[in-house]
Amino acid sequence: MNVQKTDQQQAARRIAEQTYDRLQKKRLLIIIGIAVACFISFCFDIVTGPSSLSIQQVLAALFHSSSTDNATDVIVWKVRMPYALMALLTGTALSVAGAEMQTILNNPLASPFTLGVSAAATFGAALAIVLGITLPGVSANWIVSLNAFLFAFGSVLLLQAFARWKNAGVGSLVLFGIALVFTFNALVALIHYIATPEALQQVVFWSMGSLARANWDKIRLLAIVIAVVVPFTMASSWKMTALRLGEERAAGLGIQVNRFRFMSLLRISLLAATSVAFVGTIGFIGLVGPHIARMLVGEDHRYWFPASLVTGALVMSLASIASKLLVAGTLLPVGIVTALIGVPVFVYLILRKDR
Amino acid sequence: MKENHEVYIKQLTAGYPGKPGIIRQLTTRSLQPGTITALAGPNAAGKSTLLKSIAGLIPARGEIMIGQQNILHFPMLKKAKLISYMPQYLPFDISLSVVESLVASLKASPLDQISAKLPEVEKRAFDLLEEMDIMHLATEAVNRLSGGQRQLVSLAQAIIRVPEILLLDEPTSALDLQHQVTVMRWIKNYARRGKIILIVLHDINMALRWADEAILLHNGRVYLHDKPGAVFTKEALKEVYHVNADIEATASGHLQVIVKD
Repeated sequence: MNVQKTDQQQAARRIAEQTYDRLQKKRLLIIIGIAVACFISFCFDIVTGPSSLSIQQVLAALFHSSSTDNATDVIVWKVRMPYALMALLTGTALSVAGAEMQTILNNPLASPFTLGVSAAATFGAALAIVLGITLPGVSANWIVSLNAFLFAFGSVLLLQAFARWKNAGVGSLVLFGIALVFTFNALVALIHYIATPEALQQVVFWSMGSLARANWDKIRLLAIVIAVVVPFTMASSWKMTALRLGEERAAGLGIQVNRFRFMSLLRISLLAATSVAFVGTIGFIGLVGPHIARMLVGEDHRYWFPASLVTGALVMSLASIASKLLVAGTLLPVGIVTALIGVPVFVYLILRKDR
Repeated sequence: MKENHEVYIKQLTAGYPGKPGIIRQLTTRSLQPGTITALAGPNAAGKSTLLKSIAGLIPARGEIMIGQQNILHFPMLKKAKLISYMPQYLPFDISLSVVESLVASLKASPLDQISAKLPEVEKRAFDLLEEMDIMHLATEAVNRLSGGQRQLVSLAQAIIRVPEILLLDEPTSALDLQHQVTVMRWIKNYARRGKIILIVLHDINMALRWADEAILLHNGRVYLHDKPGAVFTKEALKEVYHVNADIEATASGHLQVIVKD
C-alpha cells in the first residue's frame, strides 16, 4: 500500500515509539533500582544480628580486620557475611529457576518445588543423616548436602525421562511432578518414623530452610553454578518470550519445544538442587520473585529474567534481615520467615494489582 | 527464495498419536500465489489437521511441493522461514506489550532476508502496526486487548515474518462483524503481495465473500476444490453437511447460503 502517510499517522507513530522507548527504559531502571536495593539490603544484613556489634565495629572488621578483636572478626567474616551472601545467591537461584519453570510449564503457580525438587532433596538429606553415610575425607555436613543434591537432581532427571518416554505435555508433567512430591514426602515420613530421636531432630531441622549452613565453600560453589547457568537462561530469552505466545506458535517458529523444555529443566534442576542442598527448603521465593518481577516489568524475558533474579535476591535478603529482627536475640530459620512474612505481603500485592 | 511458486499437496496423510489418518491420501489442485483458499468442511473433517501438518506441527506423510521441493521434511527452522501458522487463539494471560510480542515473533527465529538487529526489528514492528492501522495498540499489554484486537495482533505476529504461505485457523470465528471485515481485508491485502493463504472458515458465506478458491473437506479427503461458487453448491451442502440450503445471488452479485427449513 503506497498510501501517503498523513500527519496524524506520523504523529501517532511518534507517540507510540516514544512510549515504547520510555517503557523499555523504565524496565531497565526498575531492574537497576532493585539491584541497588539488594546492595543496601545486603549491607543492612551484615550490620544486624544477635551479637550487638556497632556499625563501626563491623566496618572496622570488614576493612581493617587487623585492628579488631578476633571475636568480631569471626562474627563478621564467618557468620554474617556468608549468611548475607548466601541469602542473595539462593534468592537468585530459586527465583530464576522459578521464572524458567513458570514459562516452560505455562503456569504462574509453578516453582522449583512444584515438581518435587525440594521434597526429593529433603529425602536425600534425611537418608544421609539417618543412615549416617560417610565418605573418607568428606565432612558429614557435605555428605548431607551432596545427597540432597543428588536426589533433587535425580528427581528432575526422572521427570525428564518421563517427559521423553511419553512425549508428555505440560499437564502430564505437572501431574507427574506432584506425584513425586507425595512420594518423597511419604518416604521422608517413613524415615521420621524409623529414625532415632537425635537423627529425627536433625532431619526436621534440615527440612526447615536455614542460612545457618552457609560457608564460603558453599557460597563459591553456588556462585559458580549461577554464573554458569544464568547466561544460558538469558540466551533463551527470545524463545521463552515466543513460548508465551502459545506452544503451537512457538513450534511453528521452529522452536523444538520438547527439547527446549528439557534444556530449561536441566538449568532449573542445577539452580534449585544446588541451593536446596545448601540451605534446605526455602519455598515461596521461586514463586514470589518471578511474580513480583512480572508485575513490574511484564513478560518480555529479556527484562523479566533479570528482574526475577534481583527480586528473588532482594526478597531473600530482606527475609534474612527479618529472621534476625523478628525475635530479639534469636535467629529464626529463614524458610519460616519467607513463608510467614512473605505470604501476607504477596497476597497484598496480588489484591492491590487486581483492584 | 521460493517466491511466487505454486504449492501442490499430494497424497498427504496425517493425524495425531492414537488418532492416525484423520486426513488420508489427500491431494489438492495447485494453490496459487496471490490467492486466498478457504478450507471448509464439517467438524472433524480434518481442516485443522491439514493446516497443522503443512505447518509441520504434527507428523505427516506424502508431498507438499513448492516448485521442485517437498517441504514436508524440511527441518522446522527452515520451514519456519516459509510458513507462518496462526492458531485459533492467542493465550489470554500474556503480560507483553504488542510491540514486544511482534519483536519476539521475529527474534525467536530470525529470517534470512530480514536483519535480526533489534532496532531494525523494532522498526519493522512499528511499520507493520502503521500499515495495519493499529498503532494505538503498540504499547498496550496483549492481555488487555479485546477479542478483535487480539486477533489483529495475532495476525500481525504471523505477517511480520512475511511468510510465503500463511496458514490461518478460523481467525474470525469469535469476532464481531466489523472485526471480521478488518481481519479479512488484511488477509486479502497480504495475499495480493503474491502470498499463498490457506484459511479455515466455518462460515460458508465468509468463504463465498472473501476466498478466491475453496477446498471442501469430507472425511479427511478433498470433496471439491474449485472456485467458491462452484464448491458450495446445493448438492455439496446436502451431501457433506446434510443441510438443505439454497445458494442465491444478492443484488450486488455476491453468493449467499440460505438454509431452508
